[in-house]
Amino acid sequence: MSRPVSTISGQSGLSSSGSGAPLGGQGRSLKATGDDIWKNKTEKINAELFTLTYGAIVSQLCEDYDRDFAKINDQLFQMGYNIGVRLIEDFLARTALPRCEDMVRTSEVISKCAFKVFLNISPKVTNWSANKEAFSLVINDNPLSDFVELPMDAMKGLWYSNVLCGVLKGALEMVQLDCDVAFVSDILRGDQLTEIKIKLNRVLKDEIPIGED
Amino acid sequence: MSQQIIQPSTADPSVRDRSTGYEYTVGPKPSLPDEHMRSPLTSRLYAASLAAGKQQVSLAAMTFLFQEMIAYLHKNCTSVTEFEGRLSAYGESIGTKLLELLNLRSSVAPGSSSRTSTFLSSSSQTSTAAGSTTAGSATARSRSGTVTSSRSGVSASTHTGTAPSTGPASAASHSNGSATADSHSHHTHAHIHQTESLTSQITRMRRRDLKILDILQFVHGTLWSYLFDHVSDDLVKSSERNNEYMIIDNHPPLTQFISGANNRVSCDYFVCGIIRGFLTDAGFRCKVTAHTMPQGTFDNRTVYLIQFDNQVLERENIRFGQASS
Repeated sequence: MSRPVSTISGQSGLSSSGSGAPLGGQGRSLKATGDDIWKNKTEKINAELFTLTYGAIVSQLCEDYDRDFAKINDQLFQMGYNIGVRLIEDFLARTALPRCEDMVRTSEVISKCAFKVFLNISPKVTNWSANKEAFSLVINDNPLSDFVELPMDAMKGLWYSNVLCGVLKGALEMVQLDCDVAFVSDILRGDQLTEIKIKLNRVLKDEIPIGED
Repeated sequence: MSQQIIQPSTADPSVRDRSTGYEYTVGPKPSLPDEHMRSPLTSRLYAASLAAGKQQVSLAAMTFLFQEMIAYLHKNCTSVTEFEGRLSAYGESIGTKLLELLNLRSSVAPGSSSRTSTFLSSSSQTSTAAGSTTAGSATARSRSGTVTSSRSGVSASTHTGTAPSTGPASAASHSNGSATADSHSHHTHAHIHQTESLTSQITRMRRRDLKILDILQFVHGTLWSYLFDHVSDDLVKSSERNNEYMIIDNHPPLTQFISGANNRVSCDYFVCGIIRGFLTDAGFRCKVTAHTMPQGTFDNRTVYLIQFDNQVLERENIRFGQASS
């Protein structure tokens, strides 16, 4: 649907890499884009209200599912997925970014633009696999988990911020990237880092719905 | 739930092991056999500062989350009343927390730090708009205060005690003759990462609001500014019933993307819940309902109707009888 746009600006993306600019150069421009959109084109709201609302959701789920944390994780993931499939539209409309040519570029867009525009954070991209198809996002100041402390039983089973995985999964799927997204570790569980692993399974074929085109 | 709080006195391990990891008389407790071996997790919560940060997220992120919350309730509720009640319950859990938090933050003596007004972003805007030299020196003072406290461990005295002139001097003496630009970057760095204790800025706690009007003013002003970055558009007393008050928002931010007046008003019960939790915990038992009342160009104008319990009015009459009515 956004074919023409993606090819036009895709060329501009290629030309910038063709002119010999290192990856960092691309990253900087993405960072500038993200910062600019956040600063000038985004309506904002108190992050604490956001944190508190998410906290209310999770604690209510804990009650509704009788502290069955596997089910709660699934439910949070599902909620995130539902958000993600619609959020990507919002994201593309705001940023007008071109199609990403590879996962490296995708990771940069996720970290420097997507997280920036919606949550005002930029997770670090690390732990690339050898074939450059899997990477990790390390989140330092997760606004979802501010002022959160898990009870000991939840520390074992609950991925508190699992909604993020769902959002990433849903959003990536809508741009034809079938990925596995899951938490590896979470500071709330006593780990050193909060890390989300994203692994590309395959690139989905761009199927045009019957009756269009 | 109550059955689970009271632990049955039985030897059957299947019952006993159904632990929630939290003993209500003791606090967190290990629920796994090997947990004793692990070093106890030091709580970061007590180290976190309650000082108002300027953290923000996009309204889009918030409304997406809000929408999922509503969708979840939609699936699980059978009637509108149940839906509104449960949505309100979400809000109440937030309102109770905000009562304590905002009281604490309002207690910060004005002028003790540049941060005092950050949660009232409207007033922070006016202070920058004024752009006077006093505002500038205030920030400079608090910045140098942060730096000294991060380096030498002095916290409270530097904030209140130092005169503006000695502030930069003490900062310079600490910077070991490094370049000014470097020390300045240090300032901002410290300003972001140094968690500053809120209590060090409070000399006297704000008094609890005892009168209906006072607490409503607090909701109308402080709570609304905190939640939505502006005071509510009106606070009105009902002319027909003397236990009814109305808080009016011309453009409720959270529900602005929801279509259909009836649907929207049901979703406004989240904010009703926040108000109710806030007031109830402050000792003003009440019922809060939302009503849509378009006026002029404000199609989404919402009235939050607060109906106080009779006991609240009686108490007010006894305590402040001559003054109020």
